[in-house]
Amino acid sequence: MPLEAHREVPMEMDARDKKAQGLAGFNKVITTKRIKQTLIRSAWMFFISLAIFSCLPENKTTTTRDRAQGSDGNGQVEPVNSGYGRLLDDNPIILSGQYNLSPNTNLNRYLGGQELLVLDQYLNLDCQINEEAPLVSQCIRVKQDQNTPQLNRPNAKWAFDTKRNEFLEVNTFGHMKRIQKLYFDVLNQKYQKTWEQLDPHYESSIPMETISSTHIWNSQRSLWGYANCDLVNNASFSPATFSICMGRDSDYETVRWAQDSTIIYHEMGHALNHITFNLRNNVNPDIPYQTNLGSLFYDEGNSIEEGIADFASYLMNGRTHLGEWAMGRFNNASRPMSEDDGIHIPGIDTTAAGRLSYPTYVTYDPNFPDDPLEDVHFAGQIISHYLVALTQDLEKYCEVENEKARKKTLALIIESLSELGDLGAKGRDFNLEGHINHSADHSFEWIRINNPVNFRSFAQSMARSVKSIIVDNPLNQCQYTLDDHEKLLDSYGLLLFRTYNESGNHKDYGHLHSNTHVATLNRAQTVLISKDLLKLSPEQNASEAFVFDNRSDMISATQSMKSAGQITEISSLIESDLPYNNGNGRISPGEVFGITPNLYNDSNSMMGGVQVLANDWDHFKWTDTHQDRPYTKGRPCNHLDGFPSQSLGGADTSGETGENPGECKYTTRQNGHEFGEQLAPICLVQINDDDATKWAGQNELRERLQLEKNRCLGGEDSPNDCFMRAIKGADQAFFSHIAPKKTWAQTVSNEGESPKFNISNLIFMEVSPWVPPGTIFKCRYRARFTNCNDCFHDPKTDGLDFLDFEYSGGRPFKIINLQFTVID
Amino acid sequence: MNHFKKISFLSFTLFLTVLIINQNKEEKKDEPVEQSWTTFYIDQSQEVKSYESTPEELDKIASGETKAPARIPASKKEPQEKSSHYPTSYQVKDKQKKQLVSRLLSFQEKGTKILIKPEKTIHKKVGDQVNIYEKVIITYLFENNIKGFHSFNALIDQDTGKIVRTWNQSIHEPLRGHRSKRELTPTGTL
Repeated sequence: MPLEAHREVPMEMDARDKKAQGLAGFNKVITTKRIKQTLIRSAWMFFISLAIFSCLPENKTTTTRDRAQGSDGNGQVEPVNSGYGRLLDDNPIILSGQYNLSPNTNLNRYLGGQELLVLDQYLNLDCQINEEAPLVSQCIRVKQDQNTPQLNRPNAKWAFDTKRNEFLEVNTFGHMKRIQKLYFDVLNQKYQKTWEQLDPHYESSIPMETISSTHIWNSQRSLWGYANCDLVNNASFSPATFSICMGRDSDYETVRWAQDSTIIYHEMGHALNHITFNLRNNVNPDIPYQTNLGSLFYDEGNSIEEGIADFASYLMNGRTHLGEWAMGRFNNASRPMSEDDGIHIPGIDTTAAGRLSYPTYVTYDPNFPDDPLEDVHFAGQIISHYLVALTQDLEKYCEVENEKARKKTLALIIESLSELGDLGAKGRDFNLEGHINHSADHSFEWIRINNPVNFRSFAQSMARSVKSIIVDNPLNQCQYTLDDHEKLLDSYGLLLFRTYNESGNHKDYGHLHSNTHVATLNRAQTVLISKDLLKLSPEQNASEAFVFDNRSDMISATQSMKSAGQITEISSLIESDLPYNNGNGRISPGEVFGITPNLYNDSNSMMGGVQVLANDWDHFKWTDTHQDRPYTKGRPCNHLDGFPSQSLGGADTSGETGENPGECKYTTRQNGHEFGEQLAPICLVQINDDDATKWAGQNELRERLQLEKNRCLGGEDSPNDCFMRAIKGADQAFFSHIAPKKTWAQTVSNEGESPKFNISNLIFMEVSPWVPPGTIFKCRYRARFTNCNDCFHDPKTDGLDFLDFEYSGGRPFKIINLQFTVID
Repeated sequence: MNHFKKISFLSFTLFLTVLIINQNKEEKKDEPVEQSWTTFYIDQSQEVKSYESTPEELDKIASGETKAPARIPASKKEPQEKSSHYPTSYQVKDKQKKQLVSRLLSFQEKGTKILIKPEKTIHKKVGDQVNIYEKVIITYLFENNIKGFHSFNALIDQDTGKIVRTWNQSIHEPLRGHRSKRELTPTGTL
């Protein structure tokens, strides 16, 4: 039955109805006598009503929440006191105990006892971390959707029939409020321990301004909850407009996602992740922007984001499954968070060998286990399962109730995200800038592409948090040891680091202090692989890369990435209808094309989280450093992979010590901004002299062609990528995993099927229409993967992490050279 | 009886007063925040045009800043075109602004609009000089009425009108089989 049909028999007339009736009354012509009569009658009615209502029994209000059933025997909603409302405490499947619950079930019978929501006449909530903290006014506001005004209830009674849309608003508000309160409670505890000296052993990444600044709550903005959005089989969180949207089922009009509290918690999980990841940024006046976990359709940052958002449901209800009603009942898309969930395939269990381990299960969909898919929600299950298992460990070793253990895990997550997302590049108040994320000037790019949060950095950060907050803290009285946690991480394939990296990644001090080393014996299942075993496919007749230049595909992909904000600037030389994109699989002047290296895993273990970078990096030796920037004359460095040899145009590196800026062997400490250093675009061009052929920067070709600088792809300020360049924002590709002795394409496709490429598998590049046909380019992509032994650990040290500046260069990467000829 | 009438009348007056206060309270809360979204589009002569975003457009982009329908006048005025003025904080120069909008709308289907809301002017020291940026929210609005839930923040260089970075892209929960078609097919190999 359509939801709107039930609106004809409202349980209570709401303020909007009353207002409409009142306005109609004013249109009547009435005499003075009738006014008097009306006034007297109204006064009488008023007193009679007062008398009647004063005689009605009051509902019990001694506790904030009353667990009594919220409906009578006929399925009608019981009234509530002012300020109170009734929610579905869990989703209808769980409340009913029926996994095949009808979409037309009267959900009133599952309503909970009355609960204090808000005394205001609107669903607006003010938040406060503690009594001393300033009030964040209207931190949460809820309305039905974007097209309706906020529900106005002058009597502040929030009990509605579950068939009414108003109920969706109340349910959304109530659950948003519950998780917000819990989050502030935990944040306040952390603050008290860290900054009020309640726990002298406690060190934390949360900033000192946590209490004093209202900016903690996303710079004082209201988080909007839209309870009944026009989204089909979907929900969303928009950090820009700071809103969550709860959609509806495609087949059953009565099934709304806001009826499922686990999905509300999931979306709120995103909102709280966003606040936490930017906890330090929001109170830092020098950081006028924010950052996000993940930047692509598929990458590990976004997978971690989804995993923690799933955990938010467990945090609130202690159940290890979410979305049974909204996603599971009619779409087979609910998700588990523990290996002992019956939905899992045989072989997955809670033993160390049976965990949902990385990277084996990154594409595992428990609802369709035979059809793997690169999707952040599926990869995120590894994180949610780990977080639940960690909570259960804390419950056991700290001898606390599960509810308290869940809060402890949330405190650890806050600790890690707050540190990892710090654009001020400190991680903690008393650290030096550069301790994490390179520097304040370059941290945004570090988090986006140079060193984004992945499963390794998240696991390492969680390990640091467990060590400092749980293991090393005597006040915790937990018997949990580093070995226990390392073994747990290992069972998830997440023991991907060799040290806890307490000393950080500062360019000067990163390796000067001591770091806790992981016990090697604890790494039983996590495999670390040499980066050299990632290579282009060596198989006979295998191609080096896939090319995508179909016109409609490229227009569609560009539209999608632009409207999502992933890319913003396409060269003005590229016509927007892409007339030169001919779909011939070759690279032509004036095209936008996608490229995917045909990567091969030559090891005997699964590789996970393969990232290919096409952003500028330090691989040129500039010779015109006495000129103003940009430097344009120089030679490509060859000290990493021998290409190009000096005879083919490569730089002379003899006599270099690696100590002096300007040398090939010196990696820029300031991401190309110190004297003598400048990053270079990835693509070199072949230049034919009368007597020799050499590889050079693109400006050299421009000068030979006598092409004006303003005819370069990036305009006159960008002569070094004049003819061919990666589009910023689409300058990296990501692959979930590559099976041993296989390519990625062979890994993700079923036998006999073609692989399904999505936007995040491609690097998008643009070609100038001024490129002479026949020109040969060689582009030097950098690649790495998460379970790599020497992509994050500096081989020159005893397992220490690379310092952040190294990610401007080539040492932590496998260089993938792809050569192609531009043809007309 | 007269005495009773007086009491009744006074009580009723009190009752009305409370009602009016409540009503005023409601109206105050329902007031939209200062209108600051601007809609941009390219007209048939390929000119960039703009006007103050309409409530309907704000509804579609989930801005959270919609006017209550009851408060929208029955006879709606056509959106007023702006020649060159913008909300006071939006200082990107006219020429650069038009170029920015052209770039943002390039590749999009005809009829697509973008809505921009300026949030803050930012002075940032880069090397020896201070650059001025505008922090804005950008949202695309598609003609086929697909809800524009793809909002993001952007930092715009005030001098050049170029976007220097974007962040805060929307997160969706598309179910398997319901996700938008993003699959791409290679046309060739190297």
